[in-house]
Amino acid sequence: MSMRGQVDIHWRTGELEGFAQFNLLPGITALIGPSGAGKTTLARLITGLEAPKGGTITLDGQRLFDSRENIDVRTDKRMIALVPQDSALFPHMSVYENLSFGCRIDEDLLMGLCERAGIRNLLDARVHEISGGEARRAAIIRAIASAPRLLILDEPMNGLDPKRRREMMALIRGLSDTTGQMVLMITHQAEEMLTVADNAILMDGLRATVHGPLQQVFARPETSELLDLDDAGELIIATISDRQDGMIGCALGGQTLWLPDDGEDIGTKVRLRVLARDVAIAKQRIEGISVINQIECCLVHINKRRRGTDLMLVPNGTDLHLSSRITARSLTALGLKEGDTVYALIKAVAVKELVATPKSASGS
Amino acid sequence: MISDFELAALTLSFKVAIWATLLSLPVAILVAHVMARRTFAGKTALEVLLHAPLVVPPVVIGYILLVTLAPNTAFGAWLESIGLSPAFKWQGAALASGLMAFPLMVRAIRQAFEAEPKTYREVALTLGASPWRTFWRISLPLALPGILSATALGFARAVGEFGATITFVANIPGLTQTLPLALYSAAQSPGGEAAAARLALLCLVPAIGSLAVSEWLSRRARRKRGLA
Repeated sequence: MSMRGQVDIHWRTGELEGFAQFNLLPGITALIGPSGAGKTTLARLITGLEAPKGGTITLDGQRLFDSRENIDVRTDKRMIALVPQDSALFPHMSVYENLSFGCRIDEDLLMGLCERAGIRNLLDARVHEISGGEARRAAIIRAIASAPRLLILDEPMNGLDPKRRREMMALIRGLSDTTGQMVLMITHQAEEMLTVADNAILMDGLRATVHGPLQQVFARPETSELLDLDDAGELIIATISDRQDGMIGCALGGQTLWLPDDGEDIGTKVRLRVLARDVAIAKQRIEGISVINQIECCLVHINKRRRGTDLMLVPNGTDLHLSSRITARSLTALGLKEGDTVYALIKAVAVKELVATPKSASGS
Repeated sequence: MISDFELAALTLSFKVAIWATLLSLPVAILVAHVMARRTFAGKTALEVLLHAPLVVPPVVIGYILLVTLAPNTAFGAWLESIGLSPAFKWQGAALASGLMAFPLMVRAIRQAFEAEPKTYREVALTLGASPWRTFWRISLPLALPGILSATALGFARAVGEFGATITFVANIPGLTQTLPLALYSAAQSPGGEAAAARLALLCLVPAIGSLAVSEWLSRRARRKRGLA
């Protein structure tokens, strides 16, 4: 994966020292962490609205900030667009005037983007006449229309109801796929990261150093600790390879993971979440059971916890991970040890598909 | 209905006050913007100096103008030589009233700039707009209601200006005699009570008129962005 930017800076927030070191990769990167982690400040530092104490920021090969060389490119020359949480549509302009304010793309393209965002019929409206969700979509289109090298979205799903939230995720994903726009999306919700992002940067206590492709970051122990995930589980990105009896099958090595059919085309990339508590373990294949998925796995790690035991499994023929949470009693009864071959029993209906809408989930 | 004498004073008052306001406004916007946005050494001192015309007796301001700009001073003589001497002319009255109106306008405009949430201009910068364009397209329009009321305030203050004007440019009918000065003369002369009363009423026209116009304009500006 080619690198598009590097951030290696430290700064001061009151008495506290902040530190960030990560690469910016193409696609959508989630900057995720709890409130107060310093995510918005980091975004402001990257855009140049605030100055770091030291370090370097590089984007597309251009040095935007370098404390040693005394380089500090002005915000308006950085081509990094920011969509703040409050959208900040200019209140004295119409929606259309807002969109054309920093516009560097042609009118047809702009209108196409408005169409996709569902704001085409709002162009003549005054800013105070549209809803919060519409304002946010307009603000995102305004930012993309300025043809930025990097688009920073600060909590774009905040304050939206679940339906609008899904639509917004689909919109962001779709816009990034079709325009190739590199996006840094600030969020504190694991669901948003898992649904939309390609890459992730973890941030906590003014430090942002854990970064990389989503699955890698998600597999790190810091992630579940930091994000307080409601349930332990794994993220699987797979491709739909089969369709039978109202189900779709995703290839996992030579095996197939079945889940309910939501109408996606074969070949579509999907993001699946399998919770550890939904995975049961058997030592051999079982007949006469309703559970459809019986995935042959290698038991690579046993992690005894206060309540139950987490098993780390690798489906044979893949480098993916599954986890299973069982009781200590089951562990003893089955006599499991690391290195064993086991079967992960997963109900098809327990495989959660993390896509905003079936159509837009298709990766480019 | 209205005498030539009254009409002359009214016209002169308008002319003086309009010029005073037009002269002060751009400088007041600039100074207000600097005071609202920047911190620099000596800012407090500048602030005191800016507010001086509000607290110093107007006569003192007029006197200072007189001793610096009158033709018998070096600078005044030079101004006279290039034909720009303001002393004892309506231009001098405009200068004196403009100076008196200035701090009021700066105050009101500064408040308008300070009330603007910084997120708008920050977003404008991230969209690639230069600081200059951001000022013209974002900060200035957003401050417009405040600037309009500052203008009305300044205009009303300039129309009512008396002390600095009479000290600097004297009270010459048709030349420097604005409404307040005419009212003063009428009140001084025996049997001028009726004339004085009429002039006093006339003084209210530009003052209340300007407030009404500015209120209407800023209401319209606010309604356009859904604030009223």
